[in-house]
Amino acid sequence: MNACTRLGTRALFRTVATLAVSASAVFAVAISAGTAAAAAVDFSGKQITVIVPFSEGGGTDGYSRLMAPYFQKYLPGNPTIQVVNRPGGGGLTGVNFYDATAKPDGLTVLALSTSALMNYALGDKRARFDMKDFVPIILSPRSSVLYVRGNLGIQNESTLKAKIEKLRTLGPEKLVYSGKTPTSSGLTYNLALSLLGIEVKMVFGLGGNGPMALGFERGEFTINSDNTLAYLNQRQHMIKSGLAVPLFTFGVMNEDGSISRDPALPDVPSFDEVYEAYYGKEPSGADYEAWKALMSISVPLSKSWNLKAETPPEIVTVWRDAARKVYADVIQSPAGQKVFGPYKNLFGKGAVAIFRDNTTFDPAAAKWLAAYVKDHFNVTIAAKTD
Amino acid sequence: MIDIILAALAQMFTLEHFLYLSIGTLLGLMIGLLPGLGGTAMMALLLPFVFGKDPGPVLAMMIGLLAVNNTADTFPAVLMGIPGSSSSQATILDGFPMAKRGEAARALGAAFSASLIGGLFGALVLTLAVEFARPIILGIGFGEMLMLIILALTMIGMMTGASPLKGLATCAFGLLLGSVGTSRATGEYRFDFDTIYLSDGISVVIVGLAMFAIPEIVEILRTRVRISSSEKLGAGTLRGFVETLRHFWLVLRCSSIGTMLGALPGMGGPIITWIAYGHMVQTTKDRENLGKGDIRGVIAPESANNSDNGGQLIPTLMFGIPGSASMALFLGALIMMGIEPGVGMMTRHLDLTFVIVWSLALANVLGAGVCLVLAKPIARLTMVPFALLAPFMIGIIYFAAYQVTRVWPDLITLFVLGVLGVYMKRFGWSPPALLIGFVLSPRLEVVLYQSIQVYGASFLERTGVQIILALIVLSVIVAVRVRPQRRALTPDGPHAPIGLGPQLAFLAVVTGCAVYVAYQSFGFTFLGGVFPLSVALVTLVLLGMIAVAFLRKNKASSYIFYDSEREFQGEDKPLYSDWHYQAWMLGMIGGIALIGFVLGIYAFITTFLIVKGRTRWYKAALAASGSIALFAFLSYVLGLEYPGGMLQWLLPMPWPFD
Repeated sequence: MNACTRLGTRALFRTVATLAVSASAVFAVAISAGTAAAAAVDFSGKQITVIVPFSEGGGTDGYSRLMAPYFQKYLPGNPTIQVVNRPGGGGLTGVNFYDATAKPDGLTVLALSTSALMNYALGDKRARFDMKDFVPIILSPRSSVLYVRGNLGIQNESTLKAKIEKLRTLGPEKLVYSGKTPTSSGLTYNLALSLLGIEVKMVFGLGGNGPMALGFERGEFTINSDNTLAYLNQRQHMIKSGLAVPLFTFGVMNEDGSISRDPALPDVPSFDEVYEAYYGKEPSGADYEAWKALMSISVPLSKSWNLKAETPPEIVTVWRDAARKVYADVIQSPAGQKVFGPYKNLFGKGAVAIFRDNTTFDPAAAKWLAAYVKDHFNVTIAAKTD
Repeated sequence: MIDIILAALAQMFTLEHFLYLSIGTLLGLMIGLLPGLGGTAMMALLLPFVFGKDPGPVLAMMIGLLAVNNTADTFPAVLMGIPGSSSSQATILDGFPMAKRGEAARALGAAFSASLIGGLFGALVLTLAVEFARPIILGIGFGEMLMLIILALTMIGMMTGASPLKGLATCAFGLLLGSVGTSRATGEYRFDFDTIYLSDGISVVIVGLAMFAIPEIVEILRTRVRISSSEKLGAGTLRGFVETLRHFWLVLRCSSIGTMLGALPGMGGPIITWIAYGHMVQTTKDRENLGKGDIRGVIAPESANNSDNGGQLIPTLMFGIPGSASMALFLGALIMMGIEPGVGMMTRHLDLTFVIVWSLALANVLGAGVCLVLAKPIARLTMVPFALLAPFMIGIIYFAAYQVTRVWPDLITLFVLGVLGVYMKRFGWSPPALLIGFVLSPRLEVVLYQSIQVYGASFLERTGVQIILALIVLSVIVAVRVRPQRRALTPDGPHAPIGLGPQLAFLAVVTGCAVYVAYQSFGFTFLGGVFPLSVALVTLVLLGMIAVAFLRKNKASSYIFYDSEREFQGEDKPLYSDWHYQAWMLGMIGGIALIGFVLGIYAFITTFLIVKGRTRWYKAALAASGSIALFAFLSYVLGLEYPGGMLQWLLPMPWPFD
């Protein structure tokens, strides 16, 4: 070995040694402080992976990371649980990956949310799976609320009917609403507004709920929407100052398919109530059925954890039992109340039925919806009917 | 208010707070060192543990984690030309040439002290923001945003390389590259060749690695023995520190840019640092050394990329609107601890706001301090024979690329764009220009569309828009008046019209891409297609002008021609062509396909060390096992998975080889 190489090797060694010493010191401190490694207790030696098809910091990520340690506690044998983010393709990349690689052994879990399901149900060509491949073990609904800027003055109108009348007269000059793309989850609101005859100007291409809310706060948008929990957790300053005036929520869907008020915002009417107040009759027709189909993806299927459908029933049962205990425990904590809200979570066979039914459209509604989207946004969709 | 500020400071120095802050900061530094990993993954791991905890120490730890990422990522940028994160791309332009001159310690010293001042400046602005930020942030609407993006675009006028025409064409090509993927306004899939992978667009991390890291590695392997051309580490850390102080005014300006733009959600680190770099070039008189190892080129982006944390916290805390994934996690932690973002942060939770401010300031001091101490020992890496270093670097670069979406196409995309990067560098098409176009493209498209939708033409009447418009005009005037620094033409130098075949072939390939984009754009809806089509047409016009210049000037030397292969004459000619080491990388990818990522990288490093590093086989095998240890460690702590190959498909393999 020549002198030059030896010198170099020594320099390399010294650098590596410096790094290694500082690295081990830091991790020793980190472990003794009980932060990163506190959860790494493992009785049965199994490792469970939760695939989150979205990035870190999103709603589904927070939901999954909140529950993971609780499942660790309540699953027999206390396996370690690891949350792995596989973002991309509007959630579909991660779901495709799960569908293609996960074994039906209960060791890999898939977290799902409305936005991935919406892409699937509207026939996104990137979806390479069937919802029948999955069985939910916990289904956590979340409703959603539409609000308008206080300076539109609808809070001064006394009746629901008068509020809608006022919004109809304001028209797209005054009513500016934003969305990600024409077929993202905001479509349910677009449709609701159309059903009430309210015309709005749509601005698309917003990166997410944050920029939409900021645009609303600046006054560039006059209508905005959020899931109810985000509205209550993150938009308090707008609510208190009177900047945001809630108009209606999606409500929640009961087991018989009827819709009642959002328990998180019990003072705000549901869309059904507004529809009835304005038209004087119960909502019906292919257009309303299309809306209800979208709503039934948005609200009851808001967040969930799922296993492969072929998973042996005894494993599924163990998971469901654990999920019930997890929910009962987590909802006691303030963080749990922020993430789950007052909604009725589902665990058993009822969850499976809702999951299957709600991700497909009735043929008439599918046809109507495709025509609506083509007509309004010049976008072609192929909504799932079976 | 002063009493609350001081009470928060006193709280910082309680043992618990300080311990948590230090752990956060040191973890942040370590994670920041490795390309491809940011604080985000670490923050996500912490999230479950914040429930029911006392907010103070937890916030201190999280701030510590995210505050110093852009401090530590300077190491790979300066020492190896690898962007440690996408916010350190601009640092490479001058930092790496300094390392090649043997001045790595000086560059690092300047970078860390600039980071320090920038970080403190960010904390200061965050303090003031408690009183003043709301109206300012609410005043910046889509119109102002559009103007800011256009202003940023004019910066490329300063970074075109020897031929302004080629620089502009490269930037336009970057805009096209940025339009790959789902159309933000209509949801249509553009130029994705029916793959899911491309439907998300190409990641800035991969483009950054392909434009800077890969071409540099290939070139150094071909032409040098080690990164540093001098045998000794030159002037040290302290000198860099003093130089930062000497350019204090520049540091302050770039810190302001960082904080202000950081406060606008959606701007993002890479855009901010490129603007800071461009600003530095525009306001500098003597430009001879810029891009060749000028200390100011290190100071400007490094001041900006640390100060933007303070800026990013403003909308996160005051509006509940996070500008990045790590801010989203931070916000999530706040909410789960029962702290409501918004106006409350300035009233009810003011004490916590100042804990955050002080944590930010202290984390920056701590982080920069540790890095300054480590700068000199780590800078010795530039003295190591490059053949011993390169296989590890290549492994880490591909690891970084794989962290983007953790699928196979990440590796292939890096290789393909790496080939583009190598030839762009060889033929004088400016990589920074491409990158600026690329990072601005998606923002430009949507903000353009949103401004017109919301305001029509009336957005030009807004005061903010007019102010920025004036700056744009100023920026263009500066760009037009400046003559790029270039060396004299010689009849047989790199600008000579000799052996034009490869250059023409490259031009033809780029033109082909632009034609494809233009052709495809006709198939989209108006909103989905109008932006790529317009940009493709502009690109084609610029490329056409280049082609005409090629044909007309093919008798005499001209700046429009460039082939770095002509730098080497006779004896100097490198042993291997520019394909040689790319073939090695291709071999590594093949190896990964056969035996999986961890074993594939292991085999690659071992073979490379034996063949190119002339290392004995057992030493090579031992050194390469370090990479396995690192990958296994990261897999264990962060829950990372690695791509499998044929072997994993055929046989179940034990961890971490699965």
